[in-house]
Amino acid sequence: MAKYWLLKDDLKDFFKQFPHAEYSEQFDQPNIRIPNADLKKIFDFFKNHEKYPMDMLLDITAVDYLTSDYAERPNVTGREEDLYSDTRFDLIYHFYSVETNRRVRVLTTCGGEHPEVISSYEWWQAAHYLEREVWDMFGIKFTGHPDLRRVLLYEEFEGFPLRKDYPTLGEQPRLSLRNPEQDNGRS
Amino acid sequence: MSNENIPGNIVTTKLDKFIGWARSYSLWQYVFGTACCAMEFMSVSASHYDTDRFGAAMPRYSPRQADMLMVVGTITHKNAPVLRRVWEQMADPKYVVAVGACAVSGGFYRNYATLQGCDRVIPVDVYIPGCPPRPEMILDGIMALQEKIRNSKQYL
Repeated sequence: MAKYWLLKDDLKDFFKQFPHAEYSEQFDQPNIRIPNADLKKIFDFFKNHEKYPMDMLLDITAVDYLTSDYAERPNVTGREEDLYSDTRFDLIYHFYSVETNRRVRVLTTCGGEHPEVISSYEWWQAAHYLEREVWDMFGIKFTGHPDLRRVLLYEEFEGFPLRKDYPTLGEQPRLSLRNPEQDNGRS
Repeated sequence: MSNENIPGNIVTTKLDKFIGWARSYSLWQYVFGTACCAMEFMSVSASHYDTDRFGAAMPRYSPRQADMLMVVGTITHKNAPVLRRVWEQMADPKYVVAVGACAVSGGFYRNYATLQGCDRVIPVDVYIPGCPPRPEMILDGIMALQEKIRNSKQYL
């Protein structure tokens, strides 16, 4: 089988440098979990890797692990600490080495009242739109991003729709909506 | 209505009927295509199904020249002001056809992003359901609109 991912054996030098990184495998793909304080060093490491230089950033995405029924039951007590938990969001990076055709996946957590991590734009310019999208949907701030603003939603939109505490039907119309049953006559 | 008191090839009718007949067979359309229904719509307007047979063949690329606005696809809240502006730019008389489940009611999208039917921002004359509608359904919808135009009061 062709190799597409950097597995544990390929990453010996990595684990020597970052002994606290957790490693697991899913579907023959690696998950490397690191604390987000290490992100800067991780970016440096993979961008300038000797054997597999990760010259391409494939994707940045996030997952909100807040209990999913929060939006329907906002008055449930004892959940506030979940809202501002340091491990509420997972942030997932995929790097790709074009020359050697190898990928690697790095996971980190972030949270708090205003989740914030360092931007990878300095290392990969592809991060520009990807980080804007994560900001747009999850409200995770990337420090050092040159122009962090919404990319898919409109400027007036309030809140972050892919957060679990955003109401499922939280529509924010930009026009006053008609009632088609009342005034569908001639305009 | 032919009348034996009037000689020659002369036919009488009502002004509304006459104008409605003319308008119904000269529908210039503006296609507001936003999603997969627009792909399906291509085959309707192309020669296989051919809206030209029904007098609705002229796609206009400016709403100012169009009589009929076809809303083909999902309308998001972000896009709603654009649709509204396009409709406002059309000259009267103007007609709107909502093509596909999303344009009719939001379809299976029920979330923060999707407008629940384009009739929330503009008045709609004919609704064509389906995901996507069969070409025959769209043709049927156009014919329904023509019927509606022919039988309505014509504003001049």
